[in-house]
This record gives sequence, structure tokens and C-alpha cells, in this order.
Amino acid sequence: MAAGKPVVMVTLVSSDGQSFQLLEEAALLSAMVRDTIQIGQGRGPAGIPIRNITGQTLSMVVVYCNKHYTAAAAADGDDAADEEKKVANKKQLREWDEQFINLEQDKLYDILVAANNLGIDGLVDLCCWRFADMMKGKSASEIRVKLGIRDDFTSEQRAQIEKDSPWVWSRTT
Amino acid sequence: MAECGCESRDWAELPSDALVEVLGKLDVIDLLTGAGQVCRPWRQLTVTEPTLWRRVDMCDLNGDRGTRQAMLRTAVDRAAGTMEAFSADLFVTVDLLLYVSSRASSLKSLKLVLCLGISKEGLTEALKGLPHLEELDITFCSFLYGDVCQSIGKASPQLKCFRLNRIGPVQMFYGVDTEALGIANSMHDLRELQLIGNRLTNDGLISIIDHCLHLESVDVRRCYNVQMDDALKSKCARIRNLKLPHDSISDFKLRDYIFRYDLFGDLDVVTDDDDVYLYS
Repeated sequence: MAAGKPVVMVTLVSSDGQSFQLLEEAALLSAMVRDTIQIGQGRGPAGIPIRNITGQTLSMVVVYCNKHYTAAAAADGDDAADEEKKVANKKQLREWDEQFINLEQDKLYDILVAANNLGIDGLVDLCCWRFADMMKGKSASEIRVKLGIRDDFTSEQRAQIEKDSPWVWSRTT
Repeated sequence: MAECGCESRDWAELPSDALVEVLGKLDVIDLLTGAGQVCRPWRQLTVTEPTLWRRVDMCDLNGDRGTRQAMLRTAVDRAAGTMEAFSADLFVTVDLLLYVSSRASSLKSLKLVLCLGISKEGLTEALKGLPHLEELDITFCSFLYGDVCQSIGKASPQLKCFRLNRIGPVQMFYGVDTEALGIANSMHDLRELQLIGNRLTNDGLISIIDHCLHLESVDVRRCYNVQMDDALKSKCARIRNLKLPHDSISDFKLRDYIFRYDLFGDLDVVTDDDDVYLYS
């Protein structure tokens, strides 16, 4: 943060009424917050209501935003020519991301849906990588079991799959 | 919405924009055999969302030849003309390549590894349907050499990166500049050139450097007919990234084939009805 810059805070209010205060610049990682502030709302004491996202999930999202805002601000202040430091910082942030997202699948789901609703691209991307990682190399039936998804294909659709993807059954049944 | 304290989350009903992001991070093989066949919404998305099939890497696959060929056809169909990169090994035939060429004219990158069934004529014919090609990698495809370079250059005027790698020779053969001259005559827009194990001579390399004025990267490892004398060194001075005949190939992904060739003197390829096997 540059010295002398006024510190503007913003409050996000979860669906179950919990309030989270954070720097407006950190909150602006969310496209939804950006849009709200752009139309002149959200800076009042009532804050920005975040529907559909509970305090438990929102608190994680706020941690992510704070971390990434701080990292970006520090990178701005760094000597632009110091490539080595930049690479090291990037690596550090990536490691932090990996640890942050190493969650059990229900929490991952909540954060993915929250990040998607809030329009936080970096966090959506991170969740998607983690989620994709969980599915890599697994058959359809293994994924169903892991994520508790029901096999909802009709018999016609099964016949269609058999026709256009005959290799599937060797891996799914 | 699942975020209501409910016991479990409905992964099947993940918002489709988020699901596209997730599926977009999976290989085509996972889409074809796993995630893409989990439930109706997921399958629907893999069938109707061409962007998931932009980059199709079908190297190092298990399974019989027929299955891999059928998978490739499905991937090409689902990309619906938007495929940008395709790479495959062994199982690709001329027919398949023509299938790709006729349905994926948007292709920018084509990589063929150990595709022993592809002839010069077949490749040239296929390239006619791929006018946007910027990257072409032909590695260890035994029948693609010689005057094929000239035809490639003509068919692919936008080529920026060309790789034509051969396993041999381990010992010095007489020099042959057919490929080098074909490149020099027809690939004027090249930025990157890799010719591992080529028989070109100093004359061939100089001709390439003289005619391909945008070249930034040249890799002539294992091209033992190239002698780095002073004249050649000064010619190559403007090449930012230059790899010389005796430089190590330890960073080359398919180096194991080369090591085996060096040990046993030949790449023993056996073909039967169902598949092609490589033995050391």
C-alpha cells in the first residue's frame, strides 16, 4: 500500500448474517463487488449482502482475497528488475494456493460455487484445478462414487453411449 | 443452492459455467472415458461444448488401435471445427489424418510421433486442409523425410515452428541437404526449427539461415555432418537459441528411443494386424 493513500474498508455480509470487513481493494477481486461499488452501493455501514454464501465459506473467500491482494500489492512495490524475487514470490503464492485449496470435497464445492457467484476468477480457476485433479484418471463410476452422483442415464441414453463411446463400458462397469 | 447447511452437495448440478472450467482442465481421455460419462448434465456438456476439445493430446494412450482411432474421431466431431492443437502417436493413419484435416481446418498445431503409417503423399494431402497451421512436429515418423519439406512449406504458409526429428544416424552418413533446402525454399516465416538427427551439411544450414530470416531458435543436435567452423558460427550469430550437433539431448522428451537406437543400432518396429509395437 502506498503511504498516504486513504484506507477504504468494505463489509461483506453472509447469508447467515456474519459480517466480514476487508480492504475495498481486496474485495474488488470479486466482479460482483466491483459492479456493486460501481453503481454507488455497498460502501455504507450496511455493507454488501452476499446471498447464498454462509459465513463459514465467506470467511475462506475473504482469506483468499486478502492474501492475493497483499501479494499483488507487494509485487507492485518490488523492484521490477528483480526477476529472481518475482519468480520466488510467485512460487510462494502458488504453494499457498495449493495448501489453501487442499480441502475436503464439500468445502471445495461451496467455495467453487461462492467464487463463481462472486466472480473471483483466480479462485474459480484454483477450485477447478483441484476438482479436476480429483477426477483425473478415474472412470465414470469411480467419480460417481467419490462425489455421490447418481447415474441418471435412461436406457435410450445408455444405448446411445454404447453406440458413440463403446470404450466406456470397459472402464465404467 | 447447496450452501444451506444441507448434508451433501449436488455435484451433478454444478453451475454449467463452473463445470465447463472444471472439464476444460481434463485431458480428452478423461472426458471420453471418465468425467464426460458420469451423468446426464456432464455428458451433455461434453457433447455440446466444443471449447473442451480445442487441445487434443492422444499420445501415450493405452488401449487397442481401433479404440484410439474411434476416440480421435469422436474428439474431432465434438470440437466441431474449433480444434486448435492435436498430437498423437503410433495409431494415426492417413485416413485418420484426412478425417482431422477435413473437419478441423482451424488446427494451428499438429504433432505426430512415431506415426509409421503416414506417407509423404498422405501428409501433404492432409496439410492442404489445414491452412492455419503454425506448428508442425514430425518426430520419428520413418517415411516422412526428403522432398516432403518443400510440400509442407507450400501447404502451410503460416508455419512458425517446424520439427522434423529422426532417430538416426548414430554414425556419420554422407550429407544430404534435400530437407534443408526444402525448408529454406518454402518456410520463410519460421521462428523455430528443430532437426534432431538430420543429415544436413553446413551448406544446408547456411541456406536455411539465409532464407528464413525470422528464425530465433535452431536445434541441430545429432546432425553430425554439420561442422561448426568460423563461417557457420558467424552465420548463426543472430540465432538466439542454438543447439549444436554434440549438445546433450537429455531435455528431449523422446530421448529414450534415441538412447536405445544408439545401444542396439536400430529401431525395431513390428507391425501386426492390431497394433504397432516397438522393441529395443
